[in-house]
Amino acid sequence: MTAHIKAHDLCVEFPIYNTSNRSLKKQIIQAATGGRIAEDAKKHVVVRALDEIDLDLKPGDRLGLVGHNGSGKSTLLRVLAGAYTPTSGHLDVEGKVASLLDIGLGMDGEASGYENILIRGILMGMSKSEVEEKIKDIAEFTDLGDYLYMPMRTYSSGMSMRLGFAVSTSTNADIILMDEWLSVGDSAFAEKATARMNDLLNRSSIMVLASHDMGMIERVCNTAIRLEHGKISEKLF
Amino acid sequence: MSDFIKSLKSTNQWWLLAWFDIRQRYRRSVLGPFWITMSTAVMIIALGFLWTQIFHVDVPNFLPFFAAGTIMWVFISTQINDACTGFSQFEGYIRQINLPLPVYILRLWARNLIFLAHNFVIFIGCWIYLDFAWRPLILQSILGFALLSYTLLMVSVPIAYLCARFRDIPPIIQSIMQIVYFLTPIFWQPHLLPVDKHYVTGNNPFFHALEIVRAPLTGHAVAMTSWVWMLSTAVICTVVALWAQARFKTRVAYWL
Repeated sequence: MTAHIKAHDLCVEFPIYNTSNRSLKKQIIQAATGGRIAEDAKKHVVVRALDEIDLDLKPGDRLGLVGHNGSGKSTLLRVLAGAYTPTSGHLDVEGKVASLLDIGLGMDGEASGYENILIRGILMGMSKSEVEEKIKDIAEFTDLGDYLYMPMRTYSSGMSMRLGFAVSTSTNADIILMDEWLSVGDSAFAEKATARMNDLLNRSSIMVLASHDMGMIERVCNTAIRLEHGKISEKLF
Repeated sequence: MSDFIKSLKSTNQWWLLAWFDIRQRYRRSVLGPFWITMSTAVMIIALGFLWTQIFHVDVPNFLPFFAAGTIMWVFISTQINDACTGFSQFEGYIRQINLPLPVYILRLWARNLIFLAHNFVIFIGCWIYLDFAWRPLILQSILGFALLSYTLLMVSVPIAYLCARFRDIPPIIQSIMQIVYFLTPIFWQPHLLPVDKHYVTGNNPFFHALEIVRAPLTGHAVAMTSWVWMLSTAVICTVVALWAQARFKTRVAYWL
C-alpha cells in the first residue's frame, strides 16, 4: 500500500469550556431549570481552527504550510498525526506517520541520556529491540559521549535538543510531519543534522512542513499552501 | 474493543514506561520504591497496634486482616484517584501523538501493580511473624486478585473520561473514597456490625472486592455472594468502559 493523505471538507472545532459550562453543577442546573439558562449553557463557544480543508498528497509530495500565528498550521499537523479527530469531513491517512512536532516529548530530566533514547524511541513507535539496534548509531550521532550516562538535567538545552533530534530522526516512516524545520546545535552539528534530515526525508514518501521561513519552504517543498483563519487561502506553488 | 487489544499488545508503551515513572519518582533516594513499603509498614504497625487496643482483639487474629485490607485498599484507592487524572496528566502526549487511549490507563494501572508488589512484602512479613501455615485456600485469593485488578482497570476507563470532561468530578471521587475507607471493613471487622446493619457491608462493592482477596489470605473461604458481586461489577465495568471508549475517544484531545 502506498502512502497517501486525503482530506475532504475537513473541519476542526475546539469547544471552549470556560469554568461555568465545564462544571457539572451547570449541567445539573441546566437539566433542572430548563429555559433561559439552558439556552445559555448550551451555547458552547467554539473556535473553528480548520475550515473545509481539502488535501490530496501522494508519494513524493513535500507540502509546505505557510500562514500567520493561529492560522491553523499546527492544528492541521496534529490532525494529520491522528491526535485530533476531525469534527467533520473526511480524512484518510495511509502509511506510518512520524510526528516531529515536539522532539522532546516524554523525555525526562532525571533519566540518563541512554534511558531517554529508549523512552523517546518507544514513544516514536519503535519496539525495544529496534531501539537497542539503533542505539549505537543514535549515541554516536549526538556526539555526547559519556554525557549519555549522565541525567539529562545536566545537559545544556542544545544538548537535549541534539538527543531528541537524533532519536526522532532515526525512525522509519512513510509520512513525516514537522512544525518548523528541525535545526539544532552549533554550525558544525547543524551540517550533520541537515544531512540526517535529508536522509530521513529520502526514506519517507510524504512530508508536511509548517514554517514561517518562506526560503526554507521553497528549498525543501515541491508544493505549498497558505492557511488563513483555518482555510486554505491560496496555493503558492 | 480493538483499542483495548491494541493497547494491551503495546506492552512497551505502558509496562516499560510505568517502570520508568517509578524509577523517576524515586531516583536519588537510597530506598527507592521501598519507601512505599516503609510508609505503609509504619502505618500498619502503628494503627494495627492502636486498633487492637481499642477493639480489644488479639494480634494474630487482627493483624493479617488489617494488613491485607490496608495493602489492598491502598491499591484500590490509589488507582481510582489516579484514574481521575488518567488523561489530563498525559495531556502533552494525547495532543501530539496517536496512541489508543487505554494505553495511558494501563500505564497507571501498571504503576499501581508495581507499588502493590512492593507493599505485599509487608504482608509476607506479617505471615512470618505469625508463623505462616500454607493452605490450599490461598490459591483462591490469586483468582480473586486477578478479578479485582481487572475490574479496577475497567472502572478506571470511564472515570478517566468523566474527569477529563468535568473538572468537578476528581474532588468528588476523592471525598467518596475517603468515606468509603471508613464504611468498609478495613480497620474494623465485619462481625462487629449489629445484625440489622449488615447492609453496610453486604451492598458495598468495595467490601466484596477486598473479601475475594483478603478472606483466603486470613484463612476463610470467599462467600459466594462476594464472587457474584465482583463478577457482575466486572461485567458492568467492562460494558461501560467499552461504551465510553467507543463513544468519547475522539473527544478527549479536545477536552484537555
